[in-house]
Amino acid sequence: MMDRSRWSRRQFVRMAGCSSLGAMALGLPRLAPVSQASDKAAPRFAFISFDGKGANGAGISVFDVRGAQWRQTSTVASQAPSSLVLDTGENYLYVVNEINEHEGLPSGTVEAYTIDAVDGRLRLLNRQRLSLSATAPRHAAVSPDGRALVVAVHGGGAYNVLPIREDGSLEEVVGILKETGSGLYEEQRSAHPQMVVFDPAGRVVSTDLGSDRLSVFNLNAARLSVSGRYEAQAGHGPRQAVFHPDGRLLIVSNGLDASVACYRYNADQGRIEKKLAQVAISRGENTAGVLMAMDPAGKFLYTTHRSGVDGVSMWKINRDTGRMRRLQIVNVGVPQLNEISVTSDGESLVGLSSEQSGVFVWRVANGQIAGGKRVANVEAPMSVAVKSS
Amino acid sequence: MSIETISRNDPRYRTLMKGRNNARFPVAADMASRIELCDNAEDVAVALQRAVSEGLRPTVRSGGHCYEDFVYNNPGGVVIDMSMIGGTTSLPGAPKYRISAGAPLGDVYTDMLKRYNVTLPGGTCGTVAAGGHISGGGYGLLSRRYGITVDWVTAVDILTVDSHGKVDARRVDQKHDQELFRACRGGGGGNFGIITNYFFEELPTVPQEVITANISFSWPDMTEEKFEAVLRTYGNYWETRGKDSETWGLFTIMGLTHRTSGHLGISIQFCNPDGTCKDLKVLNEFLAQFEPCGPVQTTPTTAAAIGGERAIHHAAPENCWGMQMMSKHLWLDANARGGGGGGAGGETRGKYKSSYMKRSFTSAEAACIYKYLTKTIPGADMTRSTLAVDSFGGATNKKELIATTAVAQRASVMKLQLQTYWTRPEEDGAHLQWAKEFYSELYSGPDANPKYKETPYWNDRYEGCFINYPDKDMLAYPFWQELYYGEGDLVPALKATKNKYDPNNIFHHAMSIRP
Repeated sequence: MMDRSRWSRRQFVRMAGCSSLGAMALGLPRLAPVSQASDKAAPRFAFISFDGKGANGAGISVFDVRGAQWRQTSTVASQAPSSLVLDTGENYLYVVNEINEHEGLPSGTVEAYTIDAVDGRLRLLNRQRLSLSATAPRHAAVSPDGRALVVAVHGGGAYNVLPIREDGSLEEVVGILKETGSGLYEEQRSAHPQMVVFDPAGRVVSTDLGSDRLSVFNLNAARLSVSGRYEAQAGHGPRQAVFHPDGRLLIVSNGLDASVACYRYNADQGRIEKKLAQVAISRGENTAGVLMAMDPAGKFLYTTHRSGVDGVSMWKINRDTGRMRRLQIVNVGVPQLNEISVTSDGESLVGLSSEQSGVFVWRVANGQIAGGKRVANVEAPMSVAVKSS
Repeated sequence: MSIETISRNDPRYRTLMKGRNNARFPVAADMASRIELCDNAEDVAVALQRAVSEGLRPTVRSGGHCYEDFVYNNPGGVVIDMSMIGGTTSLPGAPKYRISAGAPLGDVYTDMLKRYNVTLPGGTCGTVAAGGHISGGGYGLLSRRYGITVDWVTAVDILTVDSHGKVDARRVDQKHDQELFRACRGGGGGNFGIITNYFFEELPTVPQEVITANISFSWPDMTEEKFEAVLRTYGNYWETRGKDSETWGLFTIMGLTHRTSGHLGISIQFCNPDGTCKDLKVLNEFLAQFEPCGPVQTTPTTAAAIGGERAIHHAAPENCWGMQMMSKHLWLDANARGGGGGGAGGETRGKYKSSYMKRSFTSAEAACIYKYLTKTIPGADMTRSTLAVDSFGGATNKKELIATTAVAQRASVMKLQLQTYWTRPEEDGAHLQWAKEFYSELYSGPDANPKYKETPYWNDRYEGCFINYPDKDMLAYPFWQELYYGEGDLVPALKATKNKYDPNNIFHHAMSIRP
C-alpha cells in the first residue's frame, strides 16, 4: 500500500467528501426525454446543502435565483447532506446523508423532499435507512423513469437501490450490491463507489475510487446486476462521471491523480470499450483531485484544478477521438472549490467554496468564462441543485 | 462438491429460513435470496466465493441460535448453512482434537466422550452448535471448573475474503495470524470470516458423574424481603465461598422467573474436581445456605419452569436433600439430552439481555428485580419471562487470558441473562418494552455510573455484557462496543483485525466490529 504523502489525509477526505457533484441533474445532459423540454429554461430556485459547525448546523437552504443576487427564502435541517439530486421532473429533491450511523446502526440515509412550486420550499416526505454497512453514502441518481434512486455508498463499498413511490417518497432499500476491490494507495484499501449516472439506455454507470473500477449495471425491478466492468489505470481513483449528450463518450475525472479520461461507451451493449484520451489537469505536488462539469449541450467541459492558481479550465472534446483541447484557463480567485455545476440553460457555472463560505457564479454563455461573482453566503456548502422548471 | 441451494421457490425455503430460537426473525421484507447448505469446508468456500462475486452479503448459520437478527435479516443476501458439517475426527498435521463449526454441542459431547473421553466446558443447550458458541466465547456448566471454551482453543480454520474479493482459507493460531486467532477466541460470530474448524491440543477429561439438584421457592409465598434474602444469599456465596477452588465443580442457574410462573429457584449441577460425586460436602453446604429462605419441594414441573429453556436435566429423584429433589446421572445423559433439547422452539419469540456481576446483589437491585418480576402487563403472557443468574468465576477468572482471547470479563462471579419468551406477534411490544425498562432501571440505581446509566458498564460491580447474548438495544449507547469487549486494548485490536482481514467489510451485522 503506497503512501500518498503529497496530500494530507485531511485534504483528501475534505475534498472527497464535498465534491460529489450532487447537482448532476442541473449541470449535466439530461438523458431522459422528459427533461429535454426544460433544458433551456432559466433557473428559478437553487438548493444548497451545507454542513457547518456554527449555529445554523447542517441543512439545505433554498434560494430564489431570479436576480443578480440570490435571495435565501427558506432552510430545512438535514444531517451531512453531501449530495443533492432532483428527479427528472424537478418536483422532488433527494438528499444523500453522508453519515456512518443512523439510530445506532451502521448505515447512511437518504431523504426525499417535495418542492413547493411557488416558493421552492422543501417538505420532507421521508427518510430511509440504507442497508447495513452502507455507511457514508456519497452520491445518488434518479432513474430516467423516476421510479428508483440508486445510491453510491462510499464508506460501505456498495450500491443501494430504493424504489420511488408515486408521491416521490422512498421505499425501503430493495437492491443491495456489495463491492470488493482495492488499489495502490492508502485511500484504496477497499472499494469506494463515488458516483452513479444513467446511460441513455437506463443502465447505471458508476465510478469506484477504491478499486480503480468503472462499472455498468443493469437495473431491473430495483435490483442491480453487472453488465460490464472496466479496470481503469491503477491509482487513478475514478470519481466523477458524465456522459456526452450523444451517449458515446463517458468522461471520468480521477480523484487520486487529478486527471480526466475520456472513454468510448457502447450504449447498446452497456459496455465501456476503451480509453480514448486522458489529460492531466494538475501536475506536481499538492494536487488534490479535480472537479468537472459539462454544459447540457455537450459543447464544453469545465474543470477545476488546485495546484498553483485556483483555476477553472474550459475544454472542447472531440466527439470522435475523445481528445480534449483546453480553450481557456481562468484564475477565478476562489480557493478550494468543493463543487462546480452548470445550470441547465448552459449559461452559468456555479461553484461552491467551503473556504470562502460562499456560492459563486460565472457567466459561460459565449464560450468564455467571465464575470465571477459571489451570489450567496453559505457556511460549509456541500452540494447544489438548481430547479428550472 | 455438493452444495444444496435453497432458493425462494424451493418448498423447503420457509422451513430453513428460520432460526431455532426466535420467531421474530426474519421479517418478510428482509429475507435472504437463498440458503446454501454445505457438506464440507470446501463447499463453504465455494458458496462464500459465489456470494461475494455476485455482490451479495453472506451470513452464516451453524446451530441457528442467534438471539438477534444477524443471520436471517439479510435482504437479498445468502445464508451459508454449516449445520451439516459436524465432524470431530482429527485432521493430519493439526492439533489433536477437532470440532467442526456445524457440530451441535450435544453431538460434540457424545463424540468427544466416545473418541477421547474429553469434553468442552461448554453450553447448557445441546442444539447450539460449535460455530457460534465458541466464536462468542461460550461457557457452560463446567466453566467454573475448566474456564470458557475459547481458553482451550489452539487453532482455527477460517475463510476470509481479501481486498480483491478472493476467498482465502487460513489456519490461524498463536504463531500464524495471531491477531485473527485472538479475535476468533470470543470476538463473536459474523465479524471476520467463516470458521470451519476449531482445534484443541488439550481438553478437559469428562467427569464421570454429576449431581443435579434444585431449590424451589413458591411465588405465592414470596415477599419482597424474602426475595432479597434469596438473591443476597446466592450472590454472597459466589462472591465469597464460591471463589474457593474446591467449589469450582458447582455450577448453578438461578431462575428468577416472573411471578405468574408460580415458582422461582435454583438449578444445580455438581461434581467434585476429581470428576466424581463421592463427597457432597460442597453441594450440601450450598443447599443449606437457603434453608432460612423457606424453600418448597421441587417437582420436575417446577424445575422445568425455573430452568426454562436451559433447565438442567432431571430424572426421577433417587436421593433427596431434605425436601429437595436430587438425582444422579452419567454426565453425558445430563448434558447431551439426546441432542433434541434447548432452543425455545420454532414458534417462540424471544428477547434477551445480559450482564456480568463482580459482586452480590444490592438491596436496590433486588428491589428492582422484584418490581419487574411481579409486574403484570395486560394482554401479555409473562410466565416465560426470567432473569437467569448463572454462577461464574472460578476458572473463568484467569486474567492472564485477557491478552490472548477476546473475552475481557475475567473478574465476575455471576453472569445474568434476562430472557422473555412469548408466542403471539401482538405481544412483541409489551415484552420488548418490559425487558428494556427492567434492564434500564436495574442499571440506573445508586451503583451505576451516571455517565453510563442504564447499562452494566464496567466498574467495581459490573463487567458489561456478553456478545453471545447480543442485544441491539445497546446500540443506543455510543460505548456499546466497550460494554461487550471492555475498556482495554480489545476494541482497537478487533477493529485493526477487521480492517486487515475483512477490508471490504463483507461480514457484517448490526453489532459486528465496525471498520
